[in-house]
Amino acid sequence: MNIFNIPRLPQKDSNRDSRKRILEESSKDFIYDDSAIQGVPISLKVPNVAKAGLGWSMTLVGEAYRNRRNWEDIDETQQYVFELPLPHKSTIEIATILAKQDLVGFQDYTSPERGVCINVKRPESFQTYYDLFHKYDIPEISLDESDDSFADYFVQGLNPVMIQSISTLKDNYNLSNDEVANHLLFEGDDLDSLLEDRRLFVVDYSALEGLESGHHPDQKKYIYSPIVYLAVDKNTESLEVLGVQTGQSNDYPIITNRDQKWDWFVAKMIARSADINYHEGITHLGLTHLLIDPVAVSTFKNLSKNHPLYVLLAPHFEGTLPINDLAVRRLISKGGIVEQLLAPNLDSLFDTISTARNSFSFRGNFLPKTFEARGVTGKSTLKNYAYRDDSLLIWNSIRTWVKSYIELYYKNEKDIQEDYELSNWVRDISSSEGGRVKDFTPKEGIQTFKVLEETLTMIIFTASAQHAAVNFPQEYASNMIYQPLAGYSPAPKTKGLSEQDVLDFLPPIDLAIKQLHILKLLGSSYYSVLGEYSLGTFNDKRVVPRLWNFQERLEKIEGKINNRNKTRRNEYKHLLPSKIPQSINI
Amino acid sequence: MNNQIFSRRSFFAKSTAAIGFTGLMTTPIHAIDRLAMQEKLEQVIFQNIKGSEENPSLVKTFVKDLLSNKIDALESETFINKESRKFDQGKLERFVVVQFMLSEAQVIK
Repeated sequence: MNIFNIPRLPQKDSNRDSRKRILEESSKDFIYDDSAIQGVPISLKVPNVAKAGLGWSMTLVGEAYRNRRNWEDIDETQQYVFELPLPHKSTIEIATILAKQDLVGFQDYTSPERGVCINVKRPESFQTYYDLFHKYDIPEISLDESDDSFADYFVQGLNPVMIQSISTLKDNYNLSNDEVANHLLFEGDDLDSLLEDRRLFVVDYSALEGLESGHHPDQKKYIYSPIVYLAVDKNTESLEVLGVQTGQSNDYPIITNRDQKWDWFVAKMIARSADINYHEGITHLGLTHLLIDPVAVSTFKNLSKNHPLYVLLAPHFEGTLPINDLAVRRLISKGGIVEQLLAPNLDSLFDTISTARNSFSFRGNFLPKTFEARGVTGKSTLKNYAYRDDSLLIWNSIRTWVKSYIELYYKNEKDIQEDYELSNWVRDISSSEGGRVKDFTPKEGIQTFKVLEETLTMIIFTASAQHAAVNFPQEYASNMIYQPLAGYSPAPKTKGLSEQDVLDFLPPIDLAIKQLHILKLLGSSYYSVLGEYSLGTFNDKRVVPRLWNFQERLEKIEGKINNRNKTRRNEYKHLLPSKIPQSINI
Repeated sequence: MNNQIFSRRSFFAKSTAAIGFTGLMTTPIHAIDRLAMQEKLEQVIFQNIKGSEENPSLVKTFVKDLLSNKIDALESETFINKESRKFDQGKLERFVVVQFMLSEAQVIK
């Protein structure tokens, strides 16, 4: 080991001047740009130091290849005619694209823009959708129409951060004693008891109300803002669904499992459609990708490569700038796949993302606090909340790791206070000209071990576990019948829907294929594993036993979650440490 | 396949001559098919991936592993067999190139 490579705090570095010069030079490459997504700063480009390893781009290539092969099989076996043909490339062209790691070029080949389907405007049966899965399995979970599975969706699904306990009903909540008393599991129970015992929970998509819907060239799209009512059965402590109010105003009915089959089917579908719109814009893009991007930029820009925090954090940013760059160029551009697929138009979506991201309180959203704010801690009546229980294990293990790591370099709080690179980093991330992360630190900045620990834990947790929890379940939504990315019929105000009515809610063929392909790609691309740092990341041998402890704790968590899954109504695997990448790289 | 030298027909001509010379006329036909396939896939890589010809043993090992299912590949054995019998082998070639690049990056799919 070369002692000169051991990380040092800037104030303790004997080569302070050259360190400063090198940092100043490399920081020139990092520029915030808030024009791609209005008002949200991300890196303008991907400088070399922020590029990901070859393994990363090849992971995407493998998944993209499946997209292409699925397209080929659709073309060969089904008679759809699109505005544009499937582009052809010779083998040598493909090899050249891959050799250059030109992911945009490969995406253009594997998931090309083909316009609308000319000869089949609307699918005539559910089977039409299922027949689009040639190279892929239809996710099993997406075929489970049970109410248990629907209730569990809100505590361990795609967006398990919305459910909240309530003690009073808002004026627009239509829930009455009927929905409680008529539920088989709640016979003898009533609404007042549920409220009083804090056993009533809602998932309210009011944030989506007022968003402007987008358009498909052939038809209008609809965005839904339902309210899902759930309750805990006092005998079994299991979470049950009471019903779905299909919109925000009192005009919208509450549909329950006692209603006709297709009414209930649509109610659940509307809830999941609203959820994925909220999820994609806010929970996923806004509060993981766009939150971590400026933190990564600022780390590369303000911390020297031999700053201990650079060494710790850089692996948790591998692939973040490249994937965001790819997303901006390929997915979230005007007229791009996101605008085509999601329910709102792009301006409206960007407004929502920008507001959510820029008003997000970093410190106010430390994981344990989010459960407190929603009244769903482990002490609440909500005993079965897989996301909460598993994520807290990871959060705590990251915190212990971070604590043990920083203690090696900061001997006392004075060391923290005198670390001027750290101060610059904080200032840059918080500033309106920089990262615009609200409440990144207390007003006085990072002065104590506690604040430093919390800040680093939040960054690493968001970049790893939180992103994993909200990214990988996207694979289930590749089944567009289970979770359409937009609706194509207005939310029902009356009951009595038919199977044909259900089909009218679902996407046209071109978008169904795009939804299948993009969500399979996003939900299946795993690159790197939490706690497994590349060889040479830590040159300081004192880190090794501490890292082993972290890895050992993660291994124990793996076993614990596997055991928990044996008794859960439905398994939850997205927070198994082995399924959590180190960084946001997809 | 672009390179006619390594077409199945020419391979058979060469193989038969070789077999005749060494007297191994009992070599099972599937082994010959496999050898032909191996050579064919190697050529796909050599012809399309720059620099691969400088490391033939790497390419040979990859192809061997691919054909003996040692790689969790993007396509099945059935696909390889089916596509190799077609006149237009573009799909097979593209698969081999993508799979080789993934394997080189140690991303085994």
